[in-house]
Amino acid sequence: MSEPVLTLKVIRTVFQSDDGPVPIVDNVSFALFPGEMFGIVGESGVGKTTLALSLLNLIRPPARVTGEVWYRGTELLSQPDHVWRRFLGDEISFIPSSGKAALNPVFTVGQQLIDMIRAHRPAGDREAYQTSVEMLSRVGLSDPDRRMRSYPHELSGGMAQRVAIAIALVNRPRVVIADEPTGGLDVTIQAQILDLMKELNTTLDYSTILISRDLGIIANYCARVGVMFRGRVIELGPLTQVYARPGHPYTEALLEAFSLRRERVLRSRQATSVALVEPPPHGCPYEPRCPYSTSRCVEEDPGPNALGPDQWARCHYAGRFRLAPDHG
Amino acid sequence: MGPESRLHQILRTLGRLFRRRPAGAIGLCAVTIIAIVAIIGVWIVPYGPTDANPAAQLEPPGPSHWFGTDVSGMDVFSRVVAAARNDLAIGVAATLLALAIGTPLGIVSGYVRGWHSELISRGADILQAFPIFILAMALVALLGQKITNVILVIAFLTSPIYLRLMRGQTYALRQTPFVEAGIVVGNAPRRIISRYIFPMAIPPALTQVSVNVGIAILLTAGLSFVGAGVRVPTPEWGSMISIGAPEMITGQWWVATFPGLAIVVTVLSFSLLGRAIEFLTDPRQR
Amino acid sequence: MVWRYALRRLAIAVPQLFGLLTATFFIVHLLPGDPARLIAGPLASAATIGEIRHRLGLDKPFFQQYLDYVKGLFTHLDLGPSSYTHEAVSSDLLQRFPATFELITLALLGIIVLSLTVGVVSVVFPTSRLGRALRPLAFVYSLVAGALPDFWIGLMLIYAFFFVLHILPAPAGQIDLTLLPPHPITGAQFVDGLLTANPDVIISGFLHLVLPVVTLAIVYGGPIFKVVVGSMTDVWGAEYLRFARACGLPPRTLIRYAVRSALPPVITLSATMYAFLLAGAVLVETVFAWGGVGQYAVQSIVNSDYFAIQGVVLLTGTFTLVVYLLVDLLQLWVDPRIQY
Repeated sequence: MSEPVLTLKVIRTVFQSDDGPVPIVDNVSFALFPGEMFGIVGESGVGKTTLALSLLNLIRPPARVTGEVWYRGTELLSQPDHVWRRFLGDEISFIPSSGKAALNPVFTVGQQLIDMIRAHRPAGDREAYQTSVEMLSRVGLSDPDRRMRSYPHELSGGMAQRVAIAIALVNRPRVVIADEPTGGLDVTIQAQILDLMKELNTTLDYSTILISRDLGIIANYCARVGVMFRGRVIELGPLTQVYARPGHPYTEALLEAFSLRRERVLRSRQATSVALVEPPPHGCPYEPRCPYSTSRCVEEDPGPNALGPDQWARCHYAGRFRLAPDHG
Repeated sequence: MGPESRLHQILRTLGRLFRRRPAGAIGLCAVTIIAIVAIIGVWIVPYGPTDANPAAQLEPPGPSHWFGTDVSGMDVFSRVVAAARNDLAIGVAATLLALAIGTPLGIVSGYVRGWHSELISRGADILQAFPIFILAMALVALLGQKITNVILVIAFLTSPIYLRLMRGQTYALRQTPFVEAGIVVGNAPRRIISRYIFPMAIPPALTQVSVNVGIAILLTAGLSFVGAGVRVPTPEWGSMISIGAPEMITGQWWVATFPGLAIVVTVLSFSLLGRAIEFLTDPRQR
Repeated sequence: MVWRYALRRLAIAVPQLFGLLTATFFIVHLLPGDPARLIAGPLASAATIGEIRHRLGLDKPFFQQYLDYVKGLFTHLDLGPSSYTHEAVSSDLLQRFPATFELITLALLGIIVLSLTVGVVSVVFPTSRLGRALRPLAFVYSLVAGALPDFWIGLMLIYAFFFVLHILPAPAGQIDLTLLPPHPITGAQFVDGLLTANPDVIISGFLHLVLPVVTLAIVYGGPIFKVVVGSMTDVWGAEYLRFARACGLPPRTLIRYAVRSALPPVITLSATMYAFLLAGAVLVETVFAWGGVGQYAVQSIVNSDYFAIQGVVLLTGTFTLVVYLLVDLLQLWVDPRIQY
């Protein structure tokens, strides 16, 4: 295994609420390897976008991010804003969920691309223009010169998303964080955008963290996946293994909901909505919903238990929960 | 235990107003106080508002003249209080008249399609192209400087605000399925307007009324300041400021300052009252 | 496409202008009161009044008067004679307009610059010392701005800065009374001083400009101020600003992005305020004895100068129309989202 390009250690993002501090991202650690597409999957509200924002220095006080983010030998979370600005847009990029919303409505596409280029290295007018046009062409936009002069409201959703991707990639970053990059687009356009992203991932040789609610998308494009529940990664491993033999009951429930498993073995249909029931204070956060929970699950919060050399799950009965005795 | 008494209901609503819109509540209290002062003030002031006493001219504020005296020896405090009645009366009358003119025209113009409504609307537009104050000056000068003319002119010039507002509201409401149902059932237009449209269109106009009283007072004061409004020596805040203007350069600041403060406080109070009205007429807060 | 809209807009302006002329004429002529008598004065004989009436063409049938008025206006821009200055109203207005224009334009610029500065500091740097100090001030100003009478504020400022602090001159015109006025090129004495490189006039003119411009800015700055701060607040938290931050764009680019996209509503409002400022100039000019159209307006009304009143009303209405037209066109350039 080669060296990871990005390593997250114990990332915690705490927001202030009326009832006190709430960890929206709770103890997340994983590594990202060169050239891979790593998927993060989970339902709405589970903390995926907050995790992305935490890695992009976009969490503002009074919310706080703790932990370590190692990128090529530098720990980023302890750096001041101006150091972050050197990395963001140049080595670590962001692809937003809506291209149209992410583009400034009073500037043309070309102006925004050129601003992105010039923010990170000096470039003459001609050079910046050329680079931008090439990038627009790379992301599959026809008539790129015309696109340079277009305003965001003149573009369709799919075109705007391609522009956002172009902006994110124009400075040849090494890590790209894509937060639900196809939300709101038609299914066929979704496929096109994701195919594009996969192709660029290979040809431009960077690593992608692909965040999505859709297990199908993750299944088609990612080699490794992390499953999030209530702010934590509760399972992580190679995609085929995780999908074939989920190590955590929640993963199983998700897969079942997406009908990606042929057998339906859950004995009770319980809603997997995240927020409603408070988990036991020292126990597993999934316990209230888990059909296989035992008294141990109520008392003890499981740490990551290995299921193989590169797969783990936060469950006392990782990989064998269906065999666990259940006590009511 | 019977139903809540009216008084109880009112007190409860007021309580909610104080909690949710403190600024509006302050406005309500302030306007009430100013109104009381305006009504009974004239009878409780220490000096007559037009009693000139040349021996006591330009005295600074002190125990016998709280706000000092002006160049004719008239007590500034008494005049400020007495002027409240005039300014408020003109402001309220002009605004209510503007409402009475603008609302029906606006409703008709928004309800009926056709060249009449376009004409009314264009007319209002043209009227709004002139800076109000200049036109007000010209009209009062041409009609004659009487309080009734001031009221009429201000009312006429501010009515386009209501016309526009009611036109927009009526037009929008007319498209709602709720009103269309009423039309289909066969209700006469008059009934539709009075039962359906008017009650829903009027609340924003009421909020505007409060703010407009302030605007009307500012206009009145301005007109009187240049001598195109209420005539001296009738106590009016604007004309009092014009009397006190030369004194500002020679250091007798009190003659013009206090009437001005009265204007600011009054206009501000009406503006805040507008927030209270907005809150109270919002059906969603019931 | 832009040109088609612009042409259409200009085309509409013509009938609007016409409507304005007609409305002015009607308003001024249909009111009770005999202008000839007003001009002649209370002691004039019936014969004098009749003579004046004939001289001014006021004895002709109504429609004929209207035609004469329109013809006079379009052929030699004739607005009639002023009974007070005894000059042509049009030359009176031409002489005085630049001074008024100078005042309101400077006031508008001041308002916009100040509002943008406060907007940027309080929204982009809310935790800085200046940002924290500005917040309560901005709140109070937003509340109180609409309630301030302009003539009163002018007087208060005069008292503070002239009488008490002695740092600004007395309110008596555009330059010091003891100075020789500069050669009249524009009619605005400060500008003329600049154009003729006259240092005494420049300094004096500048000092005399401060208080009236500040008065206008304080009194009429409220709406623009509120819109700028509101618009900046909205824009600063917008999705595209967040993406821009995620792209590592430097703070000055972020501010440029924010201000540019916050501008469109401010521009529309500035048009309305420009027209308001013209009305506001009347009282402020009177307080500061400025010698512009505002003061002329008051003077003509006080002296029942019939044609002058008509001329002032027409001028101000036309100015408003032109400003609205220009701003509609400006909007096309500033906000690319506008559909035509």
